[in-house]
Amino acid sequence: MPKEINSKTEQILNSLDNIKKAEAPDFFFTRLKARMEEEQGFIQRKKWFLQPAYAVTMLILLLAINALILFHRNKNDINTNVANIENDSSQTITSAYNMNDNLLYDINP
Amino acid sequence: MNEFELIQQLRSGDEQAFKFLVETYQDMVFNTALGIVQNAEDAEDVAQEVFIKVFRSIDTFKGESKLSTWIYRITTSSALDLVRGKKSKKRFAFLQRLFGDGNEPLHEVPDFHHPGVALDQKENAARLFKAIDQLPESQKIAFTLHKLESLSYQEISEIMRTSVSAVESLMHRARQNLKKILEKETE
Repeated sequence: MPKEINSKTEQILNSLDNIKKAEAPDFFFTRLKARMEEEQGFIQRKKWFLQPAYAVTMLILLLAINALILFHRNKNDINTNVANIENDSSQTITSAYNMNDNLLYDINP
Repeated sequence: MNEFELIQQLRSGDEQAFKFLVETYQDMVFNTALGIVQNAEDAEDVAQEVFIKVFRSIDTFKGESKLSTWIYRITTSSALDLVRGKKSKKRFAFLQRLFGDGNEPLHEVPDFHHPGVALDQKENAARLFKAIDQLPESQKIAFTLHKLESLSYQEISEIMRTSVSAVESLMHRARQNLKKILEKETE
């Protein structure tokens, strides 16, 4: 039995001897060219935003938004700082003289 | 047109040169891809990708080897990429069945019949291709190039960027592994 298996295995291993090479399907070049043209068109459509006019406009927009955000943040920071200074000074006076807030307001009408 | 002229014209984007390239090498690329991916539709996809890669990267071809060697290299690499992709999809589908409802039927891949095999050898060849599909990649490449493209060990060593003795070793191990796989099926 093992001899038979070996013989059968050898037959299978040699089954590709004298094999003819497969040929590419008909109109292979035509289909290849169509695929390349389709891919090229897709790439061109995808890259519209990389064109200079669009890219520059987007950049300016981005910078303008950043500037606006920074401007508003600075304005808010100034207002917050003023409020904080007023609070701090009243608390300092209060703690220095062991007073509560109501007493402070009595002294400073 | 000799190889040097062809490469120069390809670099300048000449369409006629590209057509000449495709017509010259399409059978070689298709046959090689077919032996590895074992499916005619996939082999055509791979063949198209190969020529697109050749067209786009012709400037990187340094001319240290023959153009055919370079194209064989791209072909085997692209074909293996497709096989790997299919195998990982299979694994994912299997996991889905494990954790999902598991009601989808298991699809058995049909036997591959190479068009160039003689009628009396079709069944044996189908079993051999099934076994080839189970070989490690480097053994699969060496065996396919030798059996389907009738390349010498020297030519295979240039494509695989290895020594002739390494190719001999790969072929020896490929045959041993194929025997084991085939004998296991027969038991």
